[in-house]
Amino acid sequence: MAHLKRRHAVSELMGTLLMIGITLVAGAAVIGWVNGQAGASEQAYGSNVAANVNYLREHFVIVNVQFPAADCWPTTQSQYCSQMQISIYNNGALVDSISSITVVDSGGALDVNLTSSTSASHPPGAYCTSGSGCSITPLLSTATMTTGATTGNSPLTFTVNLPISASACSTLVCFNVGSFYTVQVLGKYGYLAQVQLTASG
Amino acid sequence: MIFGILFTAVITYFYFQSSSNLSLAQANASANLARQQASHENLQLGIFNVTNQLSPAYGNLWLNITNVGGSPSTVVAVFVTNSAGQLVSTGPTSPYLTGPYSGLNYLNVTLPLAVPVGVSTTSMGKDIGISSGIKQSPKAFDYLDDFRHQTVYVNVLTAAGNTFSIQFPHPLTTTTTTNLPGGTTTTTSWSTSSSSTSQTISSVSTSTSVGCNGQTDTTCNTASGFLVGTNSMVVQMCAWYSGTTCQSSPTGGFDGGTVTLSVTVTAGIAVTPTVVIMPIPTGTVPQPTGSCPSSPSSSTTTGSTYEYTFTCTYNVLQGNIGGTITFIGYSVATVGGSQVTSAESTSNTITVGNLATELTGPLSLDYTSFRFYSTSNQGGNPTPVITASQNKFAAFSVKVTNTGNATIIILQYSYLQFARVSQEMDFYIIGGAPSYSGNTFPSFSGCSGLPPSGCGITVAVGATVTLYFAACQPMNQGSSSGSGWLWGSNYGNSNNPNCGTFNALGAEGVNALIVANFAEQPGPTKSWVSFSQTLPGFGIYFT
Repeated sequence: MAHLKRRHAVSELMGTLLMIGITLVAGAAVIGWVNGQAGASEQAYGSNVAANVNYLREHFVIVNVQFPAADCWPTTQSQYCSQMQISIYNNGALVDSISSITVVDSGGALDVNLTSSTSASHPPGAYCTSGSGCSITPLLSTATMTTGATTGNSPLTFTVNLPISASACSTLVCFNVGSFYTVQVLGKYGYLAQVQLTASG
Repeated sequence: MIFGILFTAVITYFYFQSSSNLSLAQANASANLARQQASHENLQLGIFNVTNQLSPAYGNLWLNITNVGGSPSTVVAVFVTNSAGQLVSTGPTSPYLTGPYSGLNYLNVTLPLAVPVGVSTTSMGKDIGISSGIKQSPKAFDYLDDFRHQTVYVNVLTAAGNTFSIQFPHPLTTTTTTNLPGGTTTTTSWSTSSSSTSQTISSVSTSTSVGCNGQTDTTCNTASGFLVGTNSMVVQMCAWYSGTTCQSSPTGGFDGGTVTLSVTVTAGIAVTPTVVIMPIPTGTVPQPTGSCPSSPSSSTTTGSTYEYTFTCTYNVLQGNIGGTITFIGYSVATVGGSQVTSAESTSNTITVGNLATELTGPLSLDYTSFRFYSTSNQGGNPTPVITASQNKFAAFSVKVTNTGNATIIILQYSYLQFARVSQEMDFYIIGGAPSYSGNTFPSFSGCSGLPPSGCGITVAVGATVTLYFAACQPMNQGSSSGSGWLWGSNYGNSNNPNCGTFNALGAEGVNALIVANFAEQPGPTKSWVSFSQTLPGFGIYFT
């Protein structure tokens, strides 16, 4: 009688347990991967949707742009002004703030570029070419605009000050009365309002 | 189980994506709806009266709004600009008016105000009264920023972001001449307007031609005719005093007394005009007192030209040195239920005293920059704000320019003087531009002597600075409440109460002048020298 050779093997129970274990590990890995991918995708998609929703809900209008007479010199020909006041009304669907305000003259030159990172007095640059630079009040970084037709809610006025006075503005940027300007206001979420005007002091 | 977990994760992902898409679609729909409603919005504006119904009583406008668009509209703010686009409305915190404030009628209604489609504010009993912001105090500067003295645009801002505007006075929009059997008919129309529409609200027909006694020259603007193509009424004024005539344009020898002002209102149709006249003194001439009658003293009709003459008298007291008086004014009448206002007219100039004796110096005064401040404006808004009757003015400001050829330093001895007949009142200078923060009001306290050891306000050649003069009577002095500004004292210090008391002023016209004390250095190595200059005065009328 032939000697029966015995083979060693895991029991059916152990095999089952091993299979379950492997399945669980693999499943957990798959679930983790799927969750990770889904989470990343949700985050990216959610951010994109949030940006689009905010962009759609953002809306404001430039109600008025004026050059206060008290800050214009001289009173005869070649009149120029140091101050521009821009009034903005938020008629969007969210509390908003302004990202930047730029003023471009008729020649396409960038006269003023103030952003939410602008400090109280903007350093000299391509705009506000020399001196202490231009400034804006209130600061774009701190000014917020409430929304909706609520009692007492009126336009918010920003004042752009150029570093000129009664002295000549030949070497400085200044708002020349009678000149054509384009004022662009960029919202926090990308909405752009623009107005073109002729300066009148 | 794993399948269940995976299924749940996938379902959650798709649910999230679906929710995001839904919110995006909703935002898109809301944005489109808002744009659509904004494009359908159309308001027709009308200014139908200038009344005394509001307090203050002068320079007010009444605005009615009719929603002629395709969507409901909500008015969120009203503001007034001049022809240069500058804001001339004056609110408590902003030129954009949104309602009454502390019992003051900047507006007589509280915004926002919803106006349904096809409805007017008149039918709602919500016509909007707009105060010019003057005369809300018993002591207020009387002239600047008055809506009546300039062409203004009343603007209405809606929640949709649209701005509708109307000009006041109403422009004459059309003048057409038609040849008809039996003569020529000229139709003159005034209109109301909004940002996108213009509608004729009245039409007045007159026979024969319009012009200066039949002339067609559009430059004609004499006392016997009126200027074709501009306003419907024209005002001419002429002033003289005893011993002179209007035509002689008297320029000297007048040391005070009665000035007669003849005001002629000419119109192409029969109207019942009234006139509003404001004397403008210069130099050190006090504000004249007097008035015009409420109705014309005579009227004549020549063809289709109707002429009304008002005879006004003013009493002029000679000032310290001399100056001039000019009158400006306009006429108001109601035509076809609509208020029509003439263009502003200026009279000839009468010299009072001796102009040659006026002092000269390097400083030039911009009297139009004269402003005042009160406790309600303590927060620092540099806009002239008129306060309630219980407030007294705390400070005045005015701009001066150094027109000389050397830098000067304005010293602490400078002051603003109200040159009154009964009593002079002096208001002493305070430091440079105040910070208005807390109680850190600037002061010359501690200054003594001339530069370089002293102190003052440096004014470079060609530079303009704002000088601040304290009204000595502090806010709510003697009261337990209020902030109690303690500005104002001799020589810019804050302890000496020896200055004018603003309360002492009654309803009267005064002449304000600036006595500027300044130091100038004759040369780089020379000592500083002190000078004084009396800047030409300007008239103020307090009510």
